[in-house]
Amino acid sequence: MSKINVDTWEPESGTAATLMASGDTVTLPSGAILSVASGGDINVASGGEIDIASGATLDVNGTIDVTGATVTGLTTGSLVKLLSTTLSGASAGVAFDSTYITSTYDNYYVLVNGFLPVTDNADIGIYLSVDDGVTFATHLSGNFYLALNSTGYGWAGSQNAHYIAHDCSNVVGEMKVNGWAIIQNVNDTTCYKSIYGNGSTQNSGTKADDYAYNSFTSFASLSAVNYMIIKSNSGNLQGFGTATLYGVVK
Amino acid sequence: MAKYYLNGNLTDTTPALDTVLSELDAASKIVKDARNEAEAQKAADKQSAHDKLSALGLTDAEIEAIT
Repeated sequence: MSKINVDTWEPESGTAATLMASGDTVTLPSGAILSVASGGDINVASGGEIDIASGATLDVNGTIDVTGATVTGLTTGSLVKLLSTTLSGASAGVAFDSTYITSTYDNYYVLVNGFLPVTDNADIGIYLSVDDGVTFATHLSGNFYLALNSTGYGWAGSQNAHYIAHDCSNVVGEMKVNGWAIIQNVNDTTCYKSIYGNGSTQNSGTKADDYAYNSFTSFASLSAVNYMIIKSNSGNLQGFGTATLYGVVK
Repeated sequence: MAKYYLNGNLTDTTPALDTVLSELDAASKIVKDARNEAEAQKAADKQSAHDKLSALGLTDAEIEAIT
């Protein structure tokens, strides 16, 4: 075995060099460090891999930039962010179609943050469809509601959508409309689909009372869901807030 | 034609989508009107019951405890 001691290794010509040949292995022995200086980079071409063996650790103390990345192999129950939509103009709603609602996931989580309706006293709800928004099957829904800073409480049944909140104020006050929902069994063709969730809003009436909602919905279709829209039931949504869709890994 | 966000992009609605969303809103209005009417009736009934109990001599705290 021969040994070469050098302080710097550079290509004989040009700026590219190849280390070893196909099938060869370069071993970094225990205690040795492969260091990338500031401004340096390790590029892995398409089809290449960096493998971390069982028992080994990828120790990251800096930033992981996953822009444009596809994440696979997550364990069952993990949440995968599919798409986040930030409103910048008035709109009739926020929809996700069969591009995102697929058989890849059976359960979806949707987070609604900072919505307001254009029309005062509107309700903001989630509507599901099995045919990319051509039709919307019956939603059998009800909710409990509770005033947070007054004495009101009650329930509403026989609603026609999964409402995040009722009677929403259209002006910014103590609260905007926030909420979340879990949509379950979207691909199970033997049963209806279930939606559960919570929401809150500043009430339209006094502009001072804040209400929280706990909603339950059965979406009356045996077909697989492939579309949802989050919308006000009277007029547009105002141009701010964010809706984010997540899939739960099977 | 309206605007809506589809898969993150602000997009024109189609006439067919406009129609189906309008139908949803119309159905929702019927449900909401019924809910408001029921809540108003419930509030009126509650006030009527309160007034009758109060006339019998119950205090507000006693009425609150049994309603």
